Amino acid sequence: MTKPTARAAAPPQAESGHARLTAWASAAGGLALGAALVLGASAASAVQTPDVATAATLTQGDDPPLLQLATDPPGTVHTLAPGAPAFWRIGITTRVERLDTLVGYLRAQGALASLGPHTTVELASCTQPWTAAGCVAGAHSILPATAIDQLTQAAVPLTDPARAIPAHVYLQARVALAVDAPVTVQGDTVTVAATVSAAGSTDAGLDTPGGDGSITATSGGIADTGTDLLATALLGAVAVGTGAAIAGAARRRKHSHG
Amino acid sequence: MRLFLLAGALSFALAAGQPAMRVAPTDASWADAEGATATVSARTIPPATIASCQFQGTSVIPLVTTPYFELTWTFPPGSGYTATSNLIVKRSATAGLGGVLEPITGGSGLRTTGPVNGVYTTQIDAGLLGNLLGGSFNLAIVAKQSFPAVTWEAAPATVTAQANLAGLTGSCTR
Repeated sequence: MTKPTARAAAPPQAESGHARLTAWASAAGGLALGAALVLGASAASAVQTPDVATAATLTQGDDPPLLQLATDPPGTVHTLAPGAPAFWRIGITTRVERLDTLVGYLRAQGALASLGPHTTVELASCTQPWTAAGCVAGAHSILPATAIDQLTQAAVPLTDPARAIPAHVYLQARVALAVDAPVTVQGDTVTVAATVSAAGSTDAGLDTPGGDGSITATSGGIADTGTDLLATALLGAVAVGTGAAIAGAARRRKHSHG
Repeated sequence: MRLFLLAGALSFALAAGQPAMRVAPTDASWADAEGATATVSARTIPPATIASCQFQGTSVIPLVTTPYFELTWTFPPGSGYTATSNLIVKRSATAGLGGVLEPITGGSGLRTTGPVNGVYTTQIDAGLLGNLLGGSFNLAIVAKQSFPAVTWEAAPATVTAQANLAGLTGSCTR
């Protein structure tokens, strides 16, 4: 609030050179004030934008989740028998601009999981939906046939690391009994759980993700949001400097006249 | 004063309209994890169901009649099983209930016909049960399914039977 005081101090001598310099100084001060106002507004905007992003994270909208799994309806039970494996398929859909990682792992629990080598699971992915003939586009092996009691929770890439991760990935878990599995396993069950993790970058200002995904800051800092303050700051600095220079010149001229 | 205000307004307008004031693209990293589960169950071979059981004893006149047990039974509807591929007829290994069941092998002494409206008829000559006669024992109809390297059997459908040593009298109950 120092500017009105400075304006009031300027004498009303509009026709003199001193008055003109004073007017220019006032104009420069006005420029500085305007720049300061814009600077302040920009700063306020920069402060508020992360809050908006945070709200997008905390308030899940109606949009589809950025990572979505599609699989069997609840209650579905896959059956298998010696030489007749069961196939469990999972569709993965991601809605991000840049998908950096897509990894996952399987776990198993139940009576069949305790049979050791009698029960195995194999995991593969396809860029197209699986058909009765398999993966038409060519399957990518994720996990070779592994005894189901030997599964680990080490996440592995779900797609070919040599290729870009597509927005749609289709998994197929092949659960098989040994061809000589004993009759005593009849009716035994196993619950196979798949955990899929994805990470990438997205425009948090445009989408409000559903699901339980989280948007976090890039590179461990605050997300690059809000306005660019550099040009505004430069404008303000130039305006202030110009105003100060003109005001100084006016004072020098006043003293010289005096 | 007017010039001051005009310059301030002008600079505000210019600054507000400059390209640098456009909202910069948001570039936020994102991570999520989702899970899915599936239940996988080893197939259960569905059991057969016995509808009836009876003993056909030896007639004194003429003596040529061979005593036998006759069972009527069905495979589970929709199983697609047939007697030629999916049937094992068993009996107790020893006299008395609760014994271990063993397959009956007897050529013409073991006959299965049908199905008639889904119902099979199996006749078991008493001669195949020689060591069991004189006591009670179990007869069983067992559904089976063969896989490339192993055969799985269903839970047996059993009846309790008995006959005297001569095969003149006997009984069979479900």
